[in-house]
Amino acid sequence: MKQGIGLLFWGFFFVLIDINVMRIDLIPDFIGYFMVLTGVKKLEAQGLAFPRVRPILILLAILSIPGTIQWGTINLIDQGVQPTSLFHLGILSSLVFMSLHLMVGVGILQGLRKQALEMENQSLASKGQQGIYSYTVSTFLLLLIYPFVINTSLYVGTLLFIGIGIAYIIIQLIFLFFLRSFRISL
Amino acid sequence: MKKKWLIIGILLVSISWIGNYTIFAAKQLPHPLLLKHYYEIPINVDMMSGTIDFRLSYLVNRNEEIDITGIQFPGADWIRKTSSHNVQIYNHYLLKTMYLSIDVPLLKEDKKMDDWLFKNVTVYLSNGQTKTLPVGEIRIVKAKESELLEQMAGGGSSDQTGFNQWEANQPLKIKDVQISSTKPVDAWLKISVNGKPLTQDIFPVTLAKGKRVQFNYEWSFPGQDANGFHLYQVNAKILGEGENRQPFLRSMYVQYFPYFTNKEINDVAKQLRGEQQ
Repeated sequence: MKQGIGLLFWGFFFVLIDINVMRIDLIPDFIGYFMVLTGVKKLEAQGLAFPRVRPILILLAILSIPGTIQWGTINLIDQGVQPTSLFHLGILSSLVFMSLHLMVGVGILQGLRKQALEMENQSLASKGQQGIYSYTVSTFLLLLIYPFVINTSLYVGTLLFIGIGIAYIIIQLIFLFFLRSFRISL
Repeated sequence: MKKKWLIIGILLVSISWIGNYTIFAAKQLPHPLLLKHYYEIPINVDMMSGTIDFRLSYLVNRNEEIDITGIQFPGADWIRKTSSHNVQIYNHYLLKTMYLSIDVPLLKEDKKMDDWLFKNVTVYLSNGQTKTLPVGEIRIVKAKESELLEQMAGGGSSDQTGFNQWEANQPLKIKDVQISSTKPVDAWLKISVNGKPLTQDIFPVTLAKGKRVQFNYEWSFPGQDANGFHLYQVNAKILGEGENRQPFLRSMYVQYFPYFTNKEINDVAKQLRGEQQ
């Protein structure tokens, strides 16, 4: 089980980290998602249940493939893609990724919480429950605020954009810490 | 987690996204929009070379998808666009200014008429389209300017006040200042001469050689007067006579280039969209 949770941890960590060299992500997100998928499979083989998580992970892995290469806004504009289309595409893809991540994160937390209850580890189960609430509420809040970026001044919009980005990274880090503490308590 | 709260959350997020996108879409301009310009530009017929510059303001969407790349004043090839730059970025729009120059020698060769009035211009857009857009009323007039008065200083402020200072090159009398504009501006423009409001009572203003006269002006558009959304360049004609009683004319620019808040620029865009669809 430790190995399965380790795969979840490193998979999500790889998704969070981007190292771009010559416009190519050296740690592509789809590798991270496949690691999570492998972890989920391993854990399910050991009796844990993560309903609906696997198909969403496959979808995330596929959707993240184009993001491996940083296309570069200027190149796309040169090829006739309108800046607004790129801007909207960027925001829309964030919406899709954040929503799918939320479903995967909550699905995994629910599965781990159930396991903690079966192990009669009340403290870990209650941490899991808190994790589900905070992960869901904070992601929903960010999703609620995010579209205001398009209707505010450049200054406020940039601050919102950066603020949401930082907040989202913090949420993901908290999620990673939960996975780590679950692994340690096994 | 209760399903009810999840549904409420999804509903709120959906409302936020749909609402914001609806507002964003409603604000988008189909193409750049020219603000209204009411200019009278005097051209000194004694000018042998050089250019007279003026500027036009226009609005584009903030992402600058479509911009103006060229402009043509009908029948006036002697007006050329020289440059353009961003003035201010608003929530949805970018206010831009393009600079144009009148090639004076070429204009003097154009013998068709003594003054020109432009109400529409043709603009060339970055998406390859060409549009004819209303520009307000821009009149270019030939004038014979005197050297008896020489401009020494001038300036304007963002509070829409400004001044012009002139020095007499010989003893002279200023007998009148006539405001010539393509749109009546009496209600919005106040001018004073050496601190006294501009009325017929103050004339003549007598100046010894080397003495200066100062004109101060102030623009004011009370309330939400939409006329304050336009740009003005008024030709204030200083009329008088020199020491040998020879009449003279000197043209003085009195300009109004407004600053807009975000709400005002939204009103401007709404008004222009109605007219320039």
